[in-house]
Amino acid sequence: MIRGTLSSLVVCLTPLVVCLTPARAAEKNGAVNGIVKVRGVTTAEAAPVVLYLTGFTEEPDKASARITQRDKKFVPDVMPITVGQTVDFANEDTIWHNVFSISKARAFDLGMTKKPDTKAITFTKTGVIDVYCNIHPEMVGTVLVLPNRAFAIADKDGRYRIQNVPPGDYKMFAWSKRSDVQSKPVTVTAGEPLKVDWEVVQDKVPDKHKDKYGKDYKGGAKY
Amino acid sequence: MHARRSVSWLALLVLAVVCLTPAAAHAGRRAFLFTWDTEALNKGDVEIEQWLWGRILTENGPGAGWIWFSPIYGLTDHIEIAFPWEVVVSPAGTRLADFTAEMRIRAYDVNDEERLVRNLIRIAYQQNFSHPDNAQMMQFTPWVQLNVVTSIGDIKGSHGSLDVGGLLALHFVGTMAFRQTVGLAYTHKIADEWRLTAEYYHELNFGGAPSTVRPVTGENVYNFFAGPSVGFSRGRVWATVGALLGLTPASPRIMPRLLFAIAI
Repeated sequence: MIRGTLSSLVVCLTPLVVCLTPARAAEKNGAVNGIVKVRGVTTAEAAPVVLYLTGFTEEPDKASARITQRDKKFVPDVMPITVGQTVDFANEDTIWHNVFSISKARAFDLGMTKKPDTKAITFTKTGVIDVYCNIHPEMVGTVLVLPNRAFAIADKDGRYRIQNVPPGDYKMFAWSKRSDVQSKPVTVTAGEPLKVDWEVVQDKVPDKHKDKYGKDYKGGAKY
Repeated sequence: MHARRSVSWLALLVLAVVCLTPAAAHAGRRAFLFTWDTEALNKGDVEIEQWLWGRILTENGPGAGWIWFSPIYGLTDHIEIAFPWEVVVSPAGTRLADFTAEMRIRAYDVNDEERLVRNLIRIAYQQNFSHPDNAQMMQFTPWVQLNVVTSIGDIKGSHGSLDVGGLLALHFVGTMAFRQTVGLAYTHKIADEWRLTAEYYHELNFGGAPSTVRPVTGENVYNFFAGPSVGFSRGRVWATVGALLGLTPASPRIMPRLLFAIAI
């Protein structure tokens, strides 16, 4: 009878414990949100702005991120991930692509791929990885490999929210490929989200990039 | 002769050091002169490769020079194919020596950065036309070749490779010819575009065919070599040049080789 009572108690209490646990975790961590104002370009030309924090590390998401090649573009063209995470590069075009990067943090060459080929690359060092197609020079993408999961991309209204940030003093950055990187020291406390607004001037024109041999692209894709 | 050889190698080394030019580029794909390495083309990539090499001052005479030429194609993520042909130049004349179909199978994912040990298998069928090693055997005797290669280290940087190979003449009536080769080499990247390499290579010939035995003593032909080379790469082009020196009195005195390729 005692055993039955005990097990009933466990059954009754378990949902309570389960419900309380996430809330306690949320209370332990903080959040950062705000608005990013982009100047210097039209809305159509504006490049995505990634907000991220440094000063602590976290395990990467076990699920792979995904960048597709569609209509001769990388979708999405900016992908922030956590160091140690894998990105699947999936060709959804019926034409050949040859995705590569010569960035020091992670150089790779996926060879020629066609729909439905998907190749995976794991990024084990932090850094900015420029990704291109050796056949189509107009295809430009970026993978930001960050030390933790505290990052977000501002939406079309400029709003962003970074959740589950452990309390502490950090450096926060605003990155886009058309602007200089900006940084601010921030202090995150448990419970109340910290509001940090940014003004980003996107007046940089991206450099013309080379092919995987470091040479200018030859005119006209043949594929 | 030895002093002259030493001076020429020293000059080559000094030239290599003086010409260091830091620049962002990958290093040469064939770092070694005679030892196969484990790098192969990615799927869809094409290269045109050429070798100029020779066996000079052999036991049988002045030796011969060779021109090897091939397009090379990355067939899949793991397989590279090549169709080289060779012309041999010797006191007997200049002639088409052979044509080969070969496949190199890379047994690793080229984008696996963490991998230190890499393996490659090379399989080739060589159709001979007027090959000097076939002298006094059926001239058109083809050969089959197999190489098993392992490299350790950064394939695009400093690494060592061991190549164990065999060549078998498809002639089973009367005398046979089998050559066992071993290449052991280490290449060190000294700058973005330059590398220095030290290499050991030997050939052990068996079977009794005329090219496998010494004419006077009838002993099997065993040749041993070692030597340095310099590699360079920039953009679509890479080149490796050097020479292996015979380590025994019966081995050819020198085997110089220049390899270069252009990616298209």
